[in-house]
Amino acid sequence: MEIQIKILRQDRPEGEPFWQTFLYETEDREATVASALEELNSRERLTDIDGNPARPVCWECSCLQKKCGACAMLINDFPALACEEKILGHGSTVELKPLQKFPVVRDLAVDRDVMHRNLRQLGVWLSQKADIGRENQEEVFIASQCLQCGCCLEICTSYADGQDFYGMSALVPAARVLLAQGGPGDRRMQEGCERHIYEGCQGFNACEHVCPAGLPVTRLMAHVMQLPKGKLLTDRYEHSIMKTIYE
Amino acid sequence: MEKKLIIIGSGLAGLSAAITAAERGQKSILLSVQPPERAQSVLAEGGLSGELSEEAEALAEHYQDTMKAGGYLAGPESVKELVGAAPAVIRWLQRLGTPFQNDGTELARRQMGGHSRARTVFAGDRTGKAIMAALADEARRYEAAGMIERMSSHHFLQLILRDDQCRGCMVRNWRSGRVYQLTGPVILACGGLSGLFPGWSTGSGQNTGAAAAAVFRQGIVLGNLEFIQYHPTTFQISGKRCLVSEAARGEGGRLFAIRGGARWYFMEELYGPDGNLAPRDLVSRTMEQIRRRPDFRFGGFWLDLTGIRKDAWKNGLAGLHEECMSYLHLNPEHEPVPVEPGIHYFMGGILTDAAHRASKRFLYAAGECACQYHGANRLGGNSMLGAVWGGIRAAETAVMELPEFQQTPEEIEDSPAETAEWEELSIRVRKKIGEILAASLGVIRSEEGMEKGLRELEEWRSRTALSRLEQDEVLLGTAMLRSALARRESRGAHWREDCPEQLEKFQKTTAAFYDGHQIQIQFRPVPGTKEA
Repeated sequence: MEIQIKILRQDRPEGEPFWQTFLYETEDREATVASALEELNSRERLTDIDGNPARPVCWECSCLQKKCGACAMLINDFPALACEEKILGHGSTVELKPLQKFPVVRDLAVDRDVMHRNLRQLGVWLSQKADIGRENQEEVFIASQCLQCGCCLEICTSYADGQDFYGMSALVPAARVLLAQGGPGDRRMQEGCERHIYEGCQGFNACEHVCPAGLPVTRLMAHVMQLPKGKLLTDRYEHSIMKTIYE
Repeated sequence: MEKKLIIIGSGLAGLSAAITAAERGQKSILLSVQPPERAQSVLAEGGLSGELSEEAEALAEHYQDTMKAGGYLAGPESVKELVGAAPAVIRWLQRLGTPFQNDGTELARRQMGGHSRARTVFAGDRTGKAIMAALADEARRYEAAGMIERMSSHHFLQLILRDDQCRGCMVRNWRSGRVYQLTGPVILACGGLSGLFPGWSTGSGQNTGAAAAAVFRQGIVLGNLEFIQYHPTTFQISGKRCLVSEAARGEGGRLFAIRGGARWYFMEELYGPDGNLAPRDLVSRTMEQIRRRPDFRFGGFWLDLTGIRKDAWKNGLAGLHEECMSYLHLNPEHEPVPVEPGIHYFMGGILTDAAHRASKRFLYAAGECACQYHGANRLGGNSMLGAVWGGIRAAETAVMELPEFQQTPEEIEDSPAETAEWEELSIRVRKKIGEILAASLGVIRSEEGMEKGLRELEEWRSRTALSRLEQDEVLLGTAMLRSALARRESRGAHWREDCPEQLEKFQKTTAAFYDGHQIQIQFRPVPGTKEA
């Protein structure tokens, strides 16, 4: 089947976006948007539908099996991983756009550093050694699986870059730390979560619907919201690897 | 000016190195192409192997298993340190909040191939991701404290070498295109070479091997390049091989082939009831030998997982279950999974000593990019242990030696480098190199096949316009083939049908380096042995 792949391209962060369409041929029902992009970039001379020469398409990619979140983009206006979406599932035309909530670097690659900055702002790290009770083991495991792909922020009606609301890409790692720490929780992080996550969330749950890792974000949020307020923990670290070895 | 360590790569080894340096009060730059969430380490599934206590007998067994599986090419001193550090590494990761499965009192352990007992701790079948999340959070804590400077959109280009020392490296920000140089000791933690085999391997395409190729061209010694691990159980998905974790056989999975229309559980028949859990090199080789047998029509290999208990699926193999359903459209609880050996791990890499020093002063390597712990064949779960411990050990050495690193005034500025053209590696070129290498460096090799590979590579190179990075990759691929040709024996993952014996004279490290004109291959005593 011949498919037209329409890509919203951009040469530079400050450049003008423009559409370019490519023809892609496949009968493979398992072929993904990622494999189509790889095939376009493997061509000796890439040309668009009108035969004009085109430079290779810039997109981020690493694991190709839904485990790293690199290739998140808008596929027919829906945030998803290119390595998960089967290209034949979209009819004869597939539109690819970079995620719109993040600054474009080039073509389909965007700068998602804001997610990390927000985690740093919230102080998402352990302030004391972990104490994972058996009851929290599975929940900590689940919360450790966030891909930081940004799909949840893309779909979220409350999230906008630079605003106070950090969204679920901050909630999930924060939940990991709060639950791994055991006890009532770290007040510093709890207050940060209140201000930057709980208060801004409108509860539409679209984030859970698009999460490529299928994380139960609503349940995780409910779980950490009900943790009793803890003390302000001072950073007193006792678990350096060297101490662990020589203890 | 303040001296900083430069760490290339933010997977298990890179993060462990940066955290260790910070714990010791040393600042570092953590440089990677993409942030830690995209590192190949997140794909690691089965677990991390190591004893839970320092009891000497148990450590000795882990040591023995590792040395034996590695065909006695791993450095004995390094492996002793590795298995001895494992209990502390596991405790450290637990304290950082890795949710290793446990029953409330003790950590659960699973059996992996080639281990004489169950000693692999795990978090479902997403252990790498669970550990990476813990380490990334810990690194963030040090980043906020100003101890780690994160540069997560940068390519390593090459080392800056002067007077036989590593003085730093040149890097490029792939977002802005800016090329500049960083000064300081360098720890390479840039991962394995799966990107040399795009489509044929289970690893991340991001691990292009470009960093290893660049330092090889610069004269850094690489070791044991011929030892490529083919994991026996993988299946093809769009663009790559998908791993079926060895944990599936640890939980009771059985390999079979179709013979005369019936199932033949060949590993059990040939190697006894525990045959399914033989080391990976043996399983993959047996499969390849069966495929070539003229006496029956080959009907494919399958993994029978129908005997696995319900709770084992739920607690330990949920990821595999999901992958079978979504990629193969089959339920592995009821139907066998079609499998084939696929490239999974590179035992060879940048040759280091037990303290993780590479062949130039102030250059270190750790993780899969380093050649150290696994000899001719790696055991399940030893890669994550080797990566975490390697990162720790490399950082310790680098921090210790840092006072001797004298920065000269002209090095102090991180000056923009010459605006040399550093083109991207094209996927087209990588696929071509991979096609030639995969055909000649399979599970079973021959002189004829490898010579043909060398000729094809050379012929294709001579008529193709290649960028500098692409030429480096060809050079590294050539070194792989030359290493494999020079080792005229069969050992571990390197099996030659024309030299099927394991020979004592080859119980040596294959050292490969480029002298500026040609590739040199030497056999050197295994580090840490009496000869060395």
